[in-house]
Amino acid sequence: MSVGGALDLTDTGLTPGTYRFEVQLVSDVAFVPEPRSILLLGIGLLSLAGMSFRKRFA
Amino acid sequence: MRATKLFIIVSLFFLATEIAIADSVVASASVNWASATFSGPVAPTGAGGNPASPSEGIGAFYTTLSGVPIVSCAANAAGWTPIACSVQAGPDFVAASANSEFDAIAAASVGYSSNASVYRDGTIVVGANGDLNIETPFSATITPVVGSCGPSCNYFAQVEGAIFLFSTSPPPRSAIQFPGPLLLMLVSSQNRTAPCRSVEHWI
Repeated sequence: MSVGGALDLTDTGLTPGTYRFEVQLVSDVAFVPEPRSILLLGIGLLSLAGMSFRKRFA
Repeated sequence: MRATKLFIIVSLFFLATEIAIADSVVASASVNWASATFSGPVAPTGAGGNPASPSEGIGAFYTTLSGVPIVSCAANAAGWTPIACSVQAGPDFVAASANSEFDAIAAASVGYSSNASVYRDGTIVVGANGDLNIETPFSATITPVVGSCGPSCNYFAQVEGAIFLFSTSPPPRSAIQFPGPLLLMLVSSQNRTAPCRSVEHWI
């Protein structure tokens, strides 16, 4: 399966100034004995991706 | 003491998850940085807002399912300069690169796990109108190689892409925003020839 499109971050009404942004990509593959429990973990993985990056590259 | 990190916006991301049975799987994601558009001037900056930190990093990791490292590579850079690394483990290939295009490719066979990750940090200037936009094309693919492997060959594959926006010095406009697309989840499932199962999640 595949998907394509645009990553789009848009906001209005921000206070003028300098902001910091980060673009991230993560690909994971694992052969697991119990797929559904891993799926649940995977859905929440994105929110932890930033912290994971920091730990790995610190 | 005044807080320095005032808010974070996660504006939009893609997340694809697939679970099925196969002999090996390749998960790949790419972002076309060269075609990215920005509403204001941008510049590299240190990750986490730390000027001493690298502004981009990549990593490719191949492990056993219990997390024992087999082969890996990682690199980072202080500016938006091209970096890349890859590892080969038997038939599996794991690679990450940050150039005019970002690529994160992770492949694994039965009994193993792999991860490829890329990040790039920068600053963007918001002008007097208060508008901000960052847009970049992406693509993501999960490709299983289905053979004669049985139920013990369940795999989990996931590709993710995200843009995070952090405010430091300006006053906060809001706390944390999660726009509509974040809440939309398309769940589809399909049954292939028994005993194969496939569960796909896309956001």
